[in-house]
Amino acid sequence: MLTFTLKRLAIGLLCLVGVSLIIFVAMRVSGDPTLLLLPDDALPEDRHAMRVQLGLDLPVPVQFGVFLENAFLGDFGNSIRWKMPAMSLVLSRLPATLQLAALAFLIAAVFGLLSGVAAARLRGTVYDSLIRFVMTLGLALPVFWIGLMLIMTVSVNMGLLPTSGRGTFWHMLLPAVTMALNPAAALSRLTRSSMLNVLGTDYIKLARVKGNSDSRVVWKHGLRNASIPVVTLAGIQLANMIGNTVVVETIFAWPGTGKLIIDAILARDFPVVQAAICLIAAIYIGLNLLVDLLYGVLDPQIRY
Amino acid sequence: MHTRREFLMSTAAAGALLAMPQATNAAGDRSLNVAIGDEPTTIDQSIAWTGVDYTTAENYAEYLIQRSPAGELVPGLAERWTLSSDGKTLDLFLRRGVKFHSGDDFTAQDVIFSFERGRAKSSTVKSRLSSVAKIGAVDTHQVRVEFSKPDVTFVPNRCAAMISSKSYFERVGEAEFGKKPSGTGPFRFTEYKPGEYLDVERFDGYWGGPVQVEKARFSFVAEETTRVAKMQAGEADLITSCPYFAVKGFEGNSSYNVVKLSLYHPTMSIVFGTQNPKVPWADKRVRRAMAHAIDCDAIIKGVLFGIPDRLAFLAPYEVGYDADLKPFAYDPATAKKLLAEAGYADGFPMKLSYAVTGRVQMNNQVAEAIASYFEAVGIKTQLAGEEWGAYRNAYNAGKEPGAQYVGLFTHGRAGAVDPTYNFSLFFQTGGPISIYSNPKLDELNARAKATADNAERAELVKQLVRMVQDEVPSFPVYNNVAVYITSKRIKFTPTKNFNFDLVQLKDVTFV
Repeated sequence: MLTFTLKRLAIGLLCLVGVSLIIFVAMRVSGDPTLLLLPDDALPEDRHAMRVQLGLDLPVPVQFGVFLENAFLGDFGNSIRWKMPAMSLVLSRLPATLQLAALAFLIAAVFGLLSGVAAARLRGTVYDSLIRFVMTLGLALPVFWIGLMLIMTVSVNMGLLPTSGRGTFWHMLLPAVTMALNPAAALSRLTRSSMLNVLGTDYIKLARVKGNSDSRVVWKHGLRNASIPVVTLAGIQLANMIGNTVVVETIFAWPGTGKLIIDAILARDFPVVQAAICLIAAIYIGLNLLVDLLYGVLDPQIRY
Repeated sequence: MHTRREFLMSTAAAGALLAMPQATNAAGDRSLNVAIGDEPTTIDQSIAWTGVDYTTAENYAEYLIQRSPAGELVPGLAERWTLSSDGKTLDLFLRRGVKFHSGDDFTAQDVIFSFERGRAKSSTVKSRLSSVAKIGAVDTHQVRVEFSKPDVTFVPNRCAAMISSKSYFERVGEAEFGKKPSGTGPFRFTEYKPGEYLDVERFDGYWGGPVQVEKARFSFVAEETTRVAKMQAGEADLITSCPYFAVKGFEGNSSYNVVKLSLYHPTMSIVFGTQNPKVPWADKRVRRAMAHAIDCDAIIKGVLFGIPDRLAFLAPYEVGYDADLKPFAYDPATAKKLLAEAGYADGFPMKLSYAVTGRVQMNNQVAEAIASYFEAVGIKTQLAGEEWGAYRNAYNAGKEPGAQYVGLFTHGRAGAVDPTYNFSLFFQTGGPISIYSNPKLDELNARAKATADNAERAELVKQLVRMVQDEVPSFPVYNNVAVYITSKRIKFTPTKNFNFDLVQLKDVTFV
């Protein structure tokens, strides 16, 4: 278990270096940042001075080496636009994103699991079709459209919830539901098919024959055994959520990292983009590791 | 959410689906919610450098000279100013008895401090001060600015920098100074939450007379549709940069005021990279043909909801405005004739670059309309929509000798502090956003910039305008109009200050 964890951590670290290399090169081939980071009427010598200050006059491999060395020491450089350390800027916006992602994940997991189990148990009925239809819709509709429609109906027409911003719990509800719909649908579909597989097995029949109550068979024997693929997907969905906040945070004016990343990319604020992407990649890698470790808990046959 | 208990309690309450209390405004409430598009990159007015920094800061900090809503330069912290006849010495006479929000007195030392700090830390202030050789205090309330060469944009730029307090800086130090900005404006800065909002409240010691708004919150709402929703849901009293498609809905509803501001800048234009002799548009007959090929009025009416303006070049209030100059007429027959004369009777293939992101509205639709007009005269147009940064880079590369650049670009003609400013930026050889080069234009513009007398400069500007109209390095499609929406409880008079989002709260009154 320990060697497994250590090995995975080492791979994760390599993965992080790879991610930062990709983002580093991508940002640099996308053009001269001083066109966006300085006012239109800035003097040419100021543009040059800024390039030197950012180290953009050095060869890219050298720049990357300097970046890696500093990043290992926790220094991702200063945001060019906001003029403060990039990583602390990103970290200051992270709680808002985590809060939103956590609520969205909770909604997605509860609705996804319940509707998936329900659909499996009601297989072939009109309820099964209805749940599957709604979930297909949830997968197919683009997030920005769902968000805008929710604002229009729930906030503007019905006046039930605030349109945007952060503040009370009520402010969280619409963006969280918007974010939850897609992963809820994915989880629901997977739970349904996974449950159907499990419910047809011999050990479930045996459990019924032994006289267990229906709900005990479904929830304890069935769901637990059906949960491995579901947990994998849930882990990926949670990690995706943190990356996917970009759209939702922009629509709902939510002050998280997603909005920050978009602003930074559009302004070519290299250090902030690099810090944020590295952080999200690290979270992604961490969550995946956690999911792998969870398998062992759910299925005692799995040992590392 | 502070504690888990609070979280759980509110989650439980969510099940009840209670209606949210709306932000209703009781009679006599003088607080205001404003939703703006972009967040400032710094709240410290002394290092402000980009458009969005000024949107909020102009409420708590001031320039030496102000601009009235009508656009005239009026006394501010400087009660009056005199420019020497050679245009090289400017004396600024400062208002006495003015206090900063921090309690510090306003003196000549604050002006010098703000200029020096701006020069060191703000690329915008540095560029505005580039013609200044020396700044000195004559006495506690008089500042003398000496120029290395006359600069007709210095005073219209309201003297380069917003004013901050030197003694406040020395007392509290850099960190606190940046976190709690202090100015002389009608409002006092109270709170800033990054990514969310900036709050101000009325400063009762303001020198400039009474203002009605007591408190205001500027919320940062980047998504334009969400700003519209905030207005419709009654969460905002005023929104900036209303998307054009939503304007009609507000105009038809008696609960809202629609306030349009003709900023003129930017002038959305078709700009040519003309340094490559091998491209068809190296021939000015081709460029002229393309200018006649597009029905700009139809684009404004049909695509942009009739909102933007269309100028031939300058706006009527500007120095050098030429009433006889007419915009290029829509005339496909002439366009085809000119193309044939240039040897392109069958047209040619071309890529049209434009931006798909950024603050300019409906670029996709406008570019598509333009492409169809080009197609109609035989120019096979391939649309190349790019993200803002890439689009700026593509434009910038348009000045290279091998470039094949034609783009729908946020260009500058009308609506600058002075017409010569836009000629320097967009048309002069080596100008910061220029891909054009014409030594005759450079020479003429240099002369115009050094001519302090408005009537004399107007003649030179007229020649410059005629030169551009004749050479067609670019031609205008439409001029920007900013749209604000307000609730009926207020009346807002916007100021033309080269800023999409600017809301000066002192110009808000309650009905």
